[in-house]
Amino acid sequence: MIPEYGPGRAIPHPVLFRLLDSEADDTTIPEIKVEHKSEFAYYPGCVDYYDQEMQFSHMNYGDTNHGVIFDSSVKLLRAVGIEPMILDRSFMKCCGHDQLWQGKVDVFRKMRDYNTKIIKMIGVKTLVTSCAEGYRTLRLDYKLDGVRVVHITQILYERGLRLPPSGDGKRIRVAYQDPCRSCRQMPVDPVYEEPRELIRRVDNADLVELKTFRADAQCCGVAQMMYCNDKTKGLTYKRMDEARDVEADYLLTACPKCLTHFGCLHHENKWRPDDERYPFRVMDITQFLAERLAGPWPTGGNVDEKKKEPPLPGRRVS
Amino acid sequence: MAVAATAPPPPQDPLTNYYRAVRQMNIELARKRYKTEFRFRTQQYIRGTGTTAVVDDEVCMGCTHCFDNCAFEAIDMADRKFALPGMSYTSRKAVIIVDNCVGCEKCAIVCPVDAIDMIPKSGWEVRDGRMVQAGAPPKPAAPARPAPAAPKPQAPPQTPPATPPTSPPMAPGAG
Repeated sequence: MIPEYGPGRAIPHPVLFRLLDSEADDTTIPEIKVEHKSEFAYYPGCVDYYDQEMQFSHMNYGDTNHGVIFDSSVKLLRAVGIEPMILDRSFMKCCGHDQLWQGKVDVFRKMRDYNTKIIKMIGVKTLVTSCAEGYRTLRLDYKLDGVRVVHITQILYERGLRLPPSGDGKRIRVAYQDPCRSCRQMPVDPVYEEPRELIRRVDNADLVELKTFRADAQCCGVAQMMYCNDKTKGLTYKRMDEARDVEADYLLTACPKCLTHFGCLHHENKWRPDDERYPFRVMDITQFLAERLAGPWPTGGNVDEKKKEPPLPGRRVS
Repeated sequence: MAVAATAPPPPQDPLTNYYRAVRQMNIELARKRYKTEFRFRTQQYIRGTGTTAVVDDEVCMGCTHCFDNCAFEAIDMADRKFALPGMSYTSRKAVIIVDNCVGCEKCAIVCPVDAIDMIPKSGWEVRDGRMVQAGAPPKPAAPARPAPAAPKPQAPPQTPPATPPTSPPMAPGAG
């Protein structure tokens, strides 16, 4: 079989779905050990599972690393004086966004009830999430009375994140993609202004707007990991072409799904080096900001030191 | 911009240790929960050697449930003409596009009449009308027949075949 579409064609979404769905069945509450108690909690979401998926599937050859979001978020939160406790996967489940929007409402309800019970039990006052979908789900679809749910850019803006001036005077052009869930599908408190303000605080960054932005922002192509076909890929192409047309050096987003699919197309494009279509970097906004701070470089902690060369892209026929 | 050229020194801050330990624990947990079967299936998807769907045309009633639910556009609906003595009719059937099928079984689950089965993509062949395991997947590079330039010693006189092998000329599924 000739791989016509590149390796991204073979995304095994159903495997990930079954993995996450199978979590919902076991609702026994495990023993919870939190070494560092705080009223601020950070919920990383399913980035670990995406790491596993990407590692084995198609594109995590060193380009798109979801674990960086975790490291960067913790670094940024500590830079503004918050030392959160981590709601990690040993006692929390997936937030259930994908299951809800795919129509598996019963699975979502199980996850919601379990997670709500845990969050109430360990006494969280402010729940910080770095994921746009998690923000919407925890804010609107959960009934977390008494718990303030914020996106990480909101609390960084509110606490006044200060970024040190960078050494080189090279100007970079930064474009921001508005994720649908935290922006135009958020009836209360949409996160439009805070990421842009944070990008403007980077001294050598010029914020450029894509052709469609804010409430008119076009979709990245795929939400809730639902489809991967020619139409969704066309939407992703269209969105990344907009970033190319404004000559951006960085395309930032706040949603792991956008990051996944932009990164997928980016990697497929590298797989055909004649077609140099996107000469910019795609990363999460937390990574972009955390790389500007002094301190340990965010790596995600899942980098294999021994692996020097990335594996050859493309579908390997055995 | 700073680049981590060497391994970072061990941190003295207990909170940093806490965050790193949580991250490492989450990675380990994801690896542990990412069971062998899931990993195996992922590898199958990547290599294109998983399962694929087949439609039983006699059972399929063309309800387009599978067509609507396929996430990979691996199903097409085709109008098939059927001819009976005295009448002919058109019926809509699902057709699997095997190149796009990743074997997620979604179509087999939603099918209301159970017309879709999952079969392995390779590793089998049809002998005497039955599906049997093949010894090895066919290699396209290895030619099955000898080179035609080889001289044939003492070829018998060619006689045209008097009767073709008995096979009915009607092919019901060809239309």
